[in-house]
Amino acid sequence: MKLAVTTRGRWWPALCGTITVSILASYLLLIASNWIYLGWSDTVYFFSKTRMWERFWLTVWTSTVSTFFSLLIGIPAGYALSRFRFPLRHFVASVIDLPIVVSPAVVGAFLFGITTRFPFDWISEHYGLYIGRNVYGVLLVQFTVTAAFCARLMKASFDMIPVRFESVSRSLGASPLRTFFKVVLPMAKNGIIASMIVVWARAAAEWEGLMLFVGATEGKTDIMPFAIYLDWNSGMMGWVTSMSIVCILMAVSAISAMRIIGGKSNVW
Amino acid sequence: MIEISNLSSDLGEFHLRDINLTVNQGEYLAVLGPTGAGKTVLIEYIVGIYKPEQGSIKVNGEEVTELFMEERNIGYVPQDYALFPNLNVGRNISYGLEARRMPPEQIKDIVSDMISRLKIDYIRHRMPLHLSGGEKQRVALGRALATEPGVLLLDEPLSALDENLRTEMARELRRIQRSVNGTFIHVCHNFEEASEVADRIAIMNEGRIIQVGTLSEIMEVPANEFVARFVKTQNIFNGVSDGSCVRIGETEIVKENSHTGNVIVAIRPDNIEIVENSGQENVFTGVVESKKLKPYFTEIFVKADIPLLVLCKKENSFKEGDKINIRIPQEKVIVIKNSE
Repeated sequence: MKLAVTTRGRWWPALCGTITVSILASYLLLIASNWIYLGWSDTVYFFSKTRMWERFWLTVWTSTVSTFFSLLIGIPAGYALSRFRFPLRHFVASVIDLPIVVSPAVVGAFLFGITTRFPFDWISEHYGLYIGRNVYGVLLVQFTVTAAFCARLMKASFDMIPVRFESVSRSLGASPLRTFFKVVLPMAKNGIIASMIVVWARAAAEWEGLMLFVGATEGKTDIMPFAIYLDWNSGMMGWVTSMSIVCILMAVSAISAMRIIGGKSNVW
Repeated sequence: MIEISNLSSDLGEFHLRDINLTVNQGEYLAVLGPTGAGKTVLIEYIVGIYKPEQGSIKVNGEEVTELFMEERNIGYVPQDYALFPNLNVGRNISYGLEARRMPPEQIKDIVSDMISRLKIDYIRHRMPLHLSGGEKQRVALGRALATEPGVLLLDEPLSALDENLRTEMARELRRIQRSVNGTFIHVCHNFEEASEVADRIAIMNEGRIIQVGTLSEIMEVPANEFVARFVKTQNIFNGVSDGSCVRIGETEIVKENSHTGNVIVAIRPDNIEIVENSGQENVFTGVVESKKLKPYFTEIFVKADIPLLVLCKKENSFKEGDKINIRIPQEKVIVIKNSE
């Protein structure tokens, strides 16, 4: 009996360890093969090009703006879903979850349907703000896909804060609004930052919805994943590989930040 | 002062039934009951987390039943103290005062006064994460008392502490309550804890208040068998009374009482005396069945016509199998009408 336990104790960690190392090795090999394919001098060449950094900054700022608007919606929505009990709560939660479950391509097609109607057509006509095959379209797609994701993550962050803290705050004379800003938000800070990074990374990686709703326009809507697609079609493998390396570096930075900040909040 | 009248409500799993309770200014009331009795729910209704379906709550004569939590001026200290982890001790204590938009100078004075009164000057700038259980309790009390609430509700404030610290902190709570002359309601499920802190005790079970009284009233005249068992009256029997004595099986105990018919007879183990002679009233001969040494006394299980638990001084020479005479003083026999 003792021998059986000892044997199991040996092969089980060994199996888990082997699987983990295999996954890690395959990913590292993938990254290394890209780098080897490109070579050091080509990497320096592509990285020195303005075209590369224009695309990079377009990705960064559109993702940042759409993340900001997602937070504006996601924080109150996540708090409401976490704290309030109202009729059809589960139905509302399911509708909010739709963009997470449904393919972003469906979201893109859906947006195409509604942006040609009121109030979008009216805004376009009166204010000249056309949302379509331009950077506003990119922002709208990123926002639509990530807002739901953001609300879901925020709900998880708020769920981890016991309601007792709010009860104590209110018993001390603080209004619900003051309680939210002085107690709930500071306590959810790490969770919110970790969620924000996830949302930002999700926005930066959006592709399918953009493909349908915005379309690929060089110099206008070519955020990194989209630009990779454009250059792939043109057979510019050097660009594809160098941009893939940038995307990987962005992802590694985001994951590291989530590990550091999210670890404290138990969100990640 | 707080007055609760006819409070009834249903929260699904928990319910409150016709709660009537008055706690006077400067009084310390312990609400005692087993897990699931509805003690915490009662606290949550008083503080305003839930609105009752029926009944009213008045604090210092003012009706607060329909008011929001922040308008009630009722202090609340939950079981885990719920200190705000993002604020240091000083800021935790000043939180309620800032919420009430008091002038900064006044806030500073009140916080300093509270900190010195609670003897926590040395942790003023510490974050809650770095406080011990006792320190957290004092900070939570300071935070709640700084706003001078009409009544302070403490939800099992000592349950997270070890036994030695619990006794010490119970005395500390009592000292603080006396020093601020506050009205405290303290929920717990530990009889010793309640007896340590409270002026009066309310016994709760299944959403109802069964009995309210001083410690001696509850111990000497328990309202029913549940209360008698809860306050550790361990010798409890079904009997029949004729008004002058009670019969438990073949054993007859002389006891003048106002009940006839089926009754519950309760005898506290510390009220039974071990005597030399058997020729007195209510003296029975039994055999020591077993002995258990406790810190301050010895528990002796005596097999007489009825099995009895007797508490006696720590030093005694009785051995298992010894014959002893025990006396049950008439005035110490508790007779409760058996309602079943």
